[in-house]
Amino acid sequence: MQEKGGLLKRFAGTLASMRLTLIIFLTLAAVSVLGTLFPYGMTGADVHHHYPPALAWFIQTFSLHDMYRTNWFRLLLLLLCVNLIICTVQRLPKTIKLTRQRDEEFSSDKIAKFSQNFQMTTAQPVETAAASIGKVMGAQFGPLKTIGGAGKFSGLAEQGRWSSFMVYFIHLSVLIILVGAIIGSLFGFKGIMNIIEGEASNTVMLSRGHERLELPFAVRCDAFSISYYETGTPREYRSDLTILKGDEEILQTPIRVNHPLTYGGITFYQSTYGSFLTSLDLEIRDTESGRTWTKNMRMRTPETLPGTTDQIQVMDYREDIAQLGPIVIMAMLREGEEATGAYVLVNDPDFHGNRISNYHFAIQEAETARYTGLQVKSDPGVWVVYVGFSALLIGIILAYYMSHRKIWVVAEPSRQFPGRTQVTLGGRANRNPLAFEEEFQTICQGVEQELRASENKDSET
Amino acid sequence: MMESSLLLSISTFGFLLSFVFYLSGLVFHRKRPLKWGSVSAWIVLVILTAGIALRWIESYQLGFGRAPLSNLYESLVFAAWSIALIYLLLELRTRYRVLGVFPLLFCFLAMAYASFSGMDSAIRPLVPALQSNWLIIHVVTCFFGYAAFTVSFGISILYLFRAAHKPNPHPKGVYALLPPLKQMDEFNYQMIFFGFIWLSLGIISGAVWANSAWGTYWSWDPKETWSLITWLVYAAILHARNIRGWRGNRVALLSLVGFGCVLFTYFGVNFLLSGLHSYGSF
Ligand code: HEM
Repeated sequence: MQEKGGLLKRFAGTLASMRLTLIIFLTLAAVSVLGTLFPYGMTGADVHHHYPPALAWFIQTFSLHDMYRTNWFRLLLLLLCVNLIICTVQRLPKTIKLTRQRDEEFSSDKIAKFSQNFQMTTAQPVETAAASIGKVMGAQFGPLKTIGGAGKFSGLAEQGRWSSFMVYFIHLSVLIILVGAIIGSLFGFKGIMNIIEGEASNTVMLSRGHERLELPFAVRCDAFSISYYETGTPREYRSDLTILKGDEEILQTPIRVNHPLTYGGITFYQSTYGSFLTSLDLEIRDTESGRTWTKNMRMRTPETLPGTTDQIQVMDYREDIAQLGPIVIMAMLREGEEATGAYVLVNDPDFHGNRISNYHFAIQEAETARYTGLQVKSDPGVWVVYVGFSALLIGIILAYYMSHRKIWVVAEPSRQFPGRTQVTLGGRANRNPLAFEEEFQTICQGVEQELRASENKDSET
Repeated sequence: MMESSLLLSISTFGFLLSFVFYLSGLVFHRKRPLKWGSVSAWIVLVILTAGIALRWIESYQLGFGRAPLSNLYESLVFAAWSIALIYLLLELRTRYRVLGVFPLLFCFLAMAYASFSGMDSAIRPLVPALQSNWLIIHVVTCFFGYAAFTVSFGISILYLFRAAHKPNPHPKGVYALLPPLKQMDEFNYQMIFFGFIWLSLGIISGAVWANSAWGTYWSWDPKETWSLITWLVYAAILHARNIRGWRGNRVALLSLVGFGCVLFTYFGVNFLLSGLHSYGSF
């Protein structure tokens, strides 16, 4: 039984230890380094295509290309949380006890050895000296409490007693952020919507798992536009959107990059744009026989050229490639041969490259439609994360500036100079000693001035 | 049109001069050159401030006013400015001047790299993704963090050299003017904590911006990830020091590692990895 208790205790001890924290911090850092080496979001096939087999095996086994979603990465974060929570549970009672502690009384010899210390003698009797010091401390630092007496005065003033709780606040905020992230990943979604100008849609293609999501309302893209600076770089991408419920127009608003629209807890961001071909009038000339055909083509719909067995097909449409203007990618399939293809320029029917084998293509009319690409996102956890962010910042800033500072004061009859009073001040701060040194010295100067001033007053009378 | 670039060139050489003063003060253990170093650094800081402000104004004259913080050139200039500012504030507080050697060296190197490597220094309009007030907050906070870590790096190097020659420096030796080891360690810790605050602000402002612009506060973009790595390393230093009581050499060495992460976050990610932050694309 004892053995078991000891083991459990040791296990809890490990989980609470600072060593584990350091190990987790550095491990997280190290695996993140690995994560950035391999582009995030590659598919398994991409990995095998890009890396030699052994490396690809390694990457796939540990899912390094998709690390942040793996269970072992989540486990690491969970371990950090457990570490943090256990550590807090273990330390909090100690901290509370420390702040409740009765203030100790120290001898002047001990105080004089504190990292900040000051000693002087004065002609004032003990009580008057103590009152003068109390006045200075009250004005410059904090109220001086009496903690001992009997022939001498012993007092203590302190500031920032609560600063020891700041780290708990910081750590709590870290947990809040992680909880917010979990809420987001459980109850939120992220996807894209491509909406053709003038049309409406309520279907979101989720980025995870090729699923679709039907929104309870539709989004119509009334117009999409790009404006440019004089230099030719884009100034603004803009989509004019309308939210529709049935036939009713609920809301009409433009969105731009950096200026999204939120409706019903769902936010729409300007992400991409593009256009595609709706129909194409094509003239085909056989350069060997001189015959020509005109055909209306549709995307990816093969057409057989009359009198032959050759099939042609529109494979793709690109808005702009290498500043040649829009192009159509054509392919031809001839019996017994491999498929061949060519880029056909839309704006230049006579371009010599507009051909496959013995066929020359000239585009008479290309009808296109433009679509806007919206990123769609719902994250109910984001406010929790923001609360955590704010708390974290406030916590760190306060932890930096606040410190628990204590100043002890003893006034007692001097052993060296009978009839005089010896005054001893000693100070300690748990952080930022530089700032405390300045503060302490100002106080000591103040004390010295005050005591000298009252001595002079006494000698005048 | 010429003015801001002229002021920036003057600053480059000013930083070099100031660095040489600091270095000779350290090497010849003389206080006077240190003082010149300090005075010249303040003057250069003022000139550089004017230069950056002018560049801002010039962008308005070009018809698309924007903060001068949006490409590698401008960020290097701003890095030099922040390092100088944060170091000089530390100097005011500690009243030790020798610690300026490395910060001023980095000010000079940043400016020289910006000016002489042939990178594009023209004032260009912002692409839509960067048109946001968050840009200013994000860049300023991140760079204050980097600057504090740079100063900490400088202190750490001096610490390690000084600690290797214990116990008492020769009164006329190179280390004669350095603060006592314990104090250097304390300054180092202060700088790391200070930088940690700014880096936290930088990461958080970046996350809030990303959320308002793209709908994700965290997307494991390489730059984001690397700034998180940097943040974790410095968090580890704070904890090791505060709770395990690490001091001196170990903290200084870890600070070097942290600074390596800063450099990689800033340069390595741009040059070696791809992502949203690779200035200029998108
Ligand atoms: C990302 C997570 C964390 C952050 C951002 C964080 C941040 C901080 C900060 C800023 C401090 C004050 C440092 C200083 O005073 O120099 C601190 C102190 C501390 N942290 Fe953490 N921490 C984290 C995780 C942890 C974990 C997992 C533990 C678990 C053991 C832990 C234990 C402590 C302790 C014991 C202190 C010192 C308390 C004291 O001074 O009385 N921290 N933390």
